[in-house]
Amino acid sequence: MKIMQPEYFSLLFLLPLLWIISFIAHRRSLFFLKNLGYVRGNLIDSQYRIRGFIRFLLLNGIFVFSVLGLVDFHWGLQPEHSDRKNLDIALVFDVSNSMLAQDVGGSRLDRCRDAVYLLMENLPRSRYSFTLFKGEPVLFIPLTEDRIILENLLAGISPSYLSSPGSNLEKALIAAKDTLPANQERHRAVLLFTDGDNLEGNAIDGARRLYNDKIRLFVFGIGTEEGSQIRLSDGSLLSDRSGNIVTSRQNKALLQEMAQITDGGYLDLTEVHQLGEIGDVLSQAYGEMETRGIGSSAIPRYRLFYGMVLLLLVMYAIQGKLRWN
Amino acid sequence: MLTFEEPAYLSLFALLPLLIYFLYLRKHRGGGIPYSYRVWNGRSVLYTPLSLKILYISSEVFLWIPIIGLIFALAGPSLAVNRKVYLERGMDIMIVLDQSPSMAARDFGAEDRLTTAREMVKDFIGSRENDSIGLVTFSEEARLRLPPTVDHELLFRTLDEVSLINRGDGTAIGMGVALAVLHLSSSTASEKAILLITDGENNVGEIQPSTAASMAAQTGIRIYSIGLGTTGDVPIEFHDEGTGKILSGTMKSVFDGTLLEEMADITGGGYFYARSSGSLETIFQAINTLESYEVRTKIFVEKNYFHGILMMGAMALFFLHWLLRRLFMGEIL
Repeated sequence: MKIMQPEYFSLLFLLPLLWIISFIAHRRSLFFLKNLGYVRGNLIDSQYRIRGFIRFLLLNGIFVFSVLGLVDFHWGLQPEHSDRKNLDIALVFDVSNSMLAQDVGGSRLDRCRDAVYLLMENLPRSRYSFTLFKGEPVLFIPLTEDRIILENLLAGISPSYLSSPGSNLEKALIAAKDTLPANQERHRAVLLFTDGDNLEGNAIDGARRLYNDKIRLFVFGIGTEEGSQIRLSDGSLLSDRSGNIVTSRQNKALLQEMAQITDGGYLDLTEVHQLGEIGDVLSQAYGEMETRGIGSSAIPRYRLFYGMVLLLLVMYAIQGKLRWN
Repeated sequence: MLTFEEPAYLSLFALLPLLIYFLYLRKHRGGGIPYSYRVWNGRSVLYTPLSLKILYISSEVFLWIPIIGLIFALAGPSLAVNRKVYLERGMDIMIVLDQSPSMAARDFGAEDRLTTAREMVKDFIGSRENDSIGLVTFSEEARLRLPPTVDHELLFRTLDEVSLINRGDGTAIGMGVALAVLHLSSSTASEKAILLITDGENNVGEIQPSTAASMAAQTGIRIYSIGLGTTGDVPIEFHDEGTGKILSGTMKSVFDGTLLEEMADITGGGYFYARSSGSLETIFQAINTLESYEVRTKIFVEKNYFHGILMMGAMALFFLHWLLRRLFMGEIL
C-alpha cells in the first residue's frame, strides 16, 4: 500500500477544533432550548441529544474520510498496456564528503563506482545520464549510450567535483528525472547511489514526483549503520562547524522508503557480495523489458473515500430536514 | 481538454432531483430549527430578515456545491494533453564542427562562417527530434563537447558556447572525425552518421582523415562532409576575448574539397560544398532528406488529475456551511 500525499494527514490535527466548536454550539443550543421551556428528559430534549450525536458522528466521518481521500491511498495492481522497451537510466551519484568514509573496505564512492561498472555490463542496450550532487545537483552527462564518456567520468569522480555544501536528495532526484525524456517508449529509472545523508530538501517528496511520472527509483545504499568518521584527502578527519568530528551513517530506513514509494528497489552495497545482485534487482523489476504488452500499475483508491464522504454528506443534509416523530 | 476517467459516476446527478424533492418539496418535511432562538424570539435580533435570508441561502449553496463537486471528483476529472511519443529510437548523429581561426571569415554575409554554420546546425537539429545528436569541435585539437544525446536543449546551449579559437592555424579534421567515431562506437542505433563541417585542409593531428573515414566505414557510420567558404581574399574579423578588441583584416582563402569528397566516398555518405548561407541551408535540407527514415509515433494522452482540488474545495465549503449554521445562525436541530 502506498500513500501518495501523506502531508494531508496533518489536517487531522484540526479535529479537536471541530470538537470544541461542536461543544460550544451544543452548549448554546441547550441554553436556547431551556429558554423555550424544554427541560431535560422530555421528548424534544431527547430528540435534540440523539440528533445532535448523529450529526456529530456524521461531521467527524465527513472530515476523516475527506482526509483519507486526500492522502491518496494506492493498493492492489491493475493491468496496464505497455509498449515500453529497453531502459533509460539516470545515474545519481552522491559526492558529498561522507562518501569518502572508509567503512566498506574502501571508500563508499569506490564501491558505488564498481556497482555502476557492473550495472553497465548487465544492461548493454540502456542509455544513461549522469548527475552528481551535494547541496546542488549538476548534470555531467546527458542521456547517452556513449559508454566511453561514462567510464571516463566514473574513473575520476570525487567530492572535489562539486563545491556546494550539504546534501540534497530531493533536488538530485528532480534533476535526474528531467534528464529522462517522456517522449520515448522506453522504461525509465533513476538509480541513486548514496549513504542517505539528506541535510536539506524532502527526499520522500522527490521520490513521489518520480512515481507520479511513472519513473522507478532504485536506491543503492552504502555505509554501515554504526557509521564511520570521514578522512579527507589531507589526512584530517571531517568536522562540523562546531569542530566536532562528523560520524556518517547510512540512513537505510529513508532510502528503503524512497524506493518503495516508486515500486523500485533497494540494495545495500555495504557488503561486497551484494554487488553481484545489482543486475538482478533491475532485471526483476523490468522482466518485461525486452517484451511489449501488459504491465501493471497500482490502483488509486480515492473513490472509496470520496464515495463515503458523499454518502455522509447526503445523510447530513437529510437529517437536518427529517421530521422525527 | 476536460476528460473523465469513470464518467459513469456522473449518472449520480440523476439522483439529485430526488434529493431536492426530499429536502425542499416533500410534504411533512422539516424538523430542523435552522435559526437561533435569539433570532426568531425577537429578543436580540442580530440580523435583518434580508441578511438572514442571504445567510440561509448561502449556507444551502455551501452544502450543495460540495455534493456536486464530489460527484465530479468521483468521475476522475482530468485535463488531458496530447503528446507525441516515438515508438522506436532514432539514429545517432555526431556534428563535427571546425572552430579554427579561418572560420572567422565573413564571406557568408554579415556573419562569420562559424556563426552561419552554427545556426544551420541548430535548424537541422530542430528537425531531428527523435535522434541522438552529439558535438565534436576541432581546430588544432579535437574536443568532445557532448556525446550523442536526445537532450537537444543542452545541445543548443553547448553549440552557443562554441567560439572561434584565435590562436594557431591548425585544422585537425582526422582527429575530429576519429573522436566522433570513438564516441559513436558503443551506440546500438541502426543508423549512424557524422556531419563534418569545415573550411580547411587537414594539416595537424596524428590521425589522417582517410584513416578516420575508414574507421567510420568499419563501424557502419556514414560521413557527410560539408566544405565551407569561397576562395580568394575574404574579410576576417575576430573578437579577442582577452582584450575585448575586435581585430579585422583580409585572409587568403583556399579551399580544396578533394579530401572531404574522398572521406564521404569511403563511408557511403556524401560531399557538399557551400559558397553561401543559402547553399548551406539547402545542403542541410538535402542531408535531412537523405537520412530520413520511417518514424513510428503514437499520441499519448497525458492526464493531469484534479480531483484532489475538488475534494479540498468541497471540504472547505461544507465546513463553511456548518460554521454558518451552527455559529452564526445558531442552528439548534
